[in-house]
Amino acid sequence: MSRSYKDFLDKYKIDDFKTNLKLSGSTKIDFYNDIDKLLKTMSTIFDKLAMIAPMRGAQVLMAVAKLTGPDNVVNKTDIKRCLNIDRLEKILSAIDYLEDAKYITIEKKTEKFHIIKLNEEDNPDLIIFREIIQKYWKSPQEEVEQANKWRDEK
Amino acid sequence: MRNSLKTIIELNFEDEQGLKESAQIIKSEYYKKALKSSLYIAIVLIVGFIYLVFGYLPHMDNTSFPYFLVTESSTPVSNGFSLDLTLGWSFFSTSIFLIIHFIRLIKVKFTPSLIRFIEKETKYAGFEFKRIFDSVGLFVILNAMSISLLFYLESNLIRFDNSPWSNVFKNFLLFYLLISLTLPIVWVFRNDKFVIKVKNNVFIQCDLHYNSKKNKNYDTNLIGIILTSNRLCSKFDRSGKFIYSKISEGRWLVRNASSAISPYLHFEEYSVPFNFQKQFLNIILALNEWENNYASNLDSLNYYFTRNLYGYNYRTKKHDDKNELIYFKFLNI
Repeated sequence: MSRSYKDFLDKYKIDDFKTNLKLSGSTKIDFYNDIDKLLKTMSTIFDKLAMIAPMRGAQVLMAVAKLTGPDNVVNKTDIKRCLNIDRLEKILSAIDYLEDAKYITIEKKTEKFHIIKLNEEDNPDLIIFREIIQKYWKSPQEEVEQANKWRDEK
Repeated sequence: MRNSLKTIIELNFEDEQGLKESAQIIKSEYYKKALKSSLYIAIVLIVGFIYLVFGYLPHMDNTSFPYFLVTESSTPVSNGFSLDLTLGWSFFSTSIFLIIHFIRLIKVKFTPSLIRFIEKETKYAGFEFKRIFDSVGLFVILNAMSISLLFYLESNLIRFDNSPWSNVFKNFLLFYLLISLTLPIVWVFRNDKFVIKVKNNVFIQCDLHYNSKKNKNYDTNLIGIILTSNRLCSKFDRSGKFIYSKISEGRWLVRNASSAISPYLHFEEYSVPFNFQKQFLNIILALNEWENNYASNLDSLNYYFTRNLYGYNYRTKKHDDKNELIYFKFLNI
């Protein structure tokens, strides 16, 4: 398994234009596993970095990315629940920051109802971010569910 | 925010200002606690000294503790009914235990508001944070027993003569007195701790680390909580060690930080109050992975050994890592 991007390029000679990239049989599986591993590692890095920063902005951004979907409507309470946080006040300043920085957009439908979206139009990098987070990242809510399920096992 | 009912302050680690204020609150609570414990130690020492000078030394003769137990005299020869021995031992053992207990309390840096914060965080994740301070109970039980034995002895309900059985019993009593004091003291250091119970036989121990002294090279606001799992397996179990390193690696757990003397492996995670819940869940899920992979690995081992695999050289199986032993089930990490 490739643990670094450089090793990955070297292993499959991707940056060597004299060699044809042959992906057949087990090589294709290896190639897929290697890419999968790299993306998973990136997701872990996002997660760990989000835990170092004293502001919850990165966590909120990850929660929005996780919850975003064609049929999903995301609001502040969904984010709070996804991050398993007890009080909404803990994420309000982070949401304000992300909106000001134009990483997210907030559509206010009524006085109490709003929809939060990732601002992928202004920040196209957020598309790959969302894909990685949705596929690899486990939200605190999912972790709590998994931990409690394991605890209740006999 | 001050809770007027319980006077326990609610900590806030959400912003820099809150972090500084919370660190100050924790420090002041810790100083108060340390001061209170020091005061108790001083009181115990003063009372003990007063008893020694005015109550014990003036009346010390060959009937007093410890002469009575170590000399050949058969029973305490006292003029009338006396409880010198019982009182002397009660005072001595209680003073020693209380001093050790309060010294330990000074060393434990958890304060009421921080305990409340961690209790809330763990409860919100569906678990329970517990204070295990069994040493006091153990001391009370063992010491009550030794006091009653000494009382029986002094009130002549038990008598020693020069028979071999009597000597054995006398030695046993001396040994018991020693144990009744040393065992709770060892317990204070070994087993009095703050833990989060995960499930049967699975727990996570919490230790608090922060620098209470002013130091230019150290951020005094940094409050670290060290989470340590219960024992996983022996350090010499190569298969267990391999699974342990894989899980630690995948979850970025702290490695090689545990005691070099300890022969067991433990998962360890570092957190600050801000990310406590997440780091706590990380170590719990590591334990979950451990249980799934280590138990199934053992099952596989048992299965293959009971099937009598002649000539099965598992080292020649296709594995990249030479350290990898029998690794039948791929780790799901």
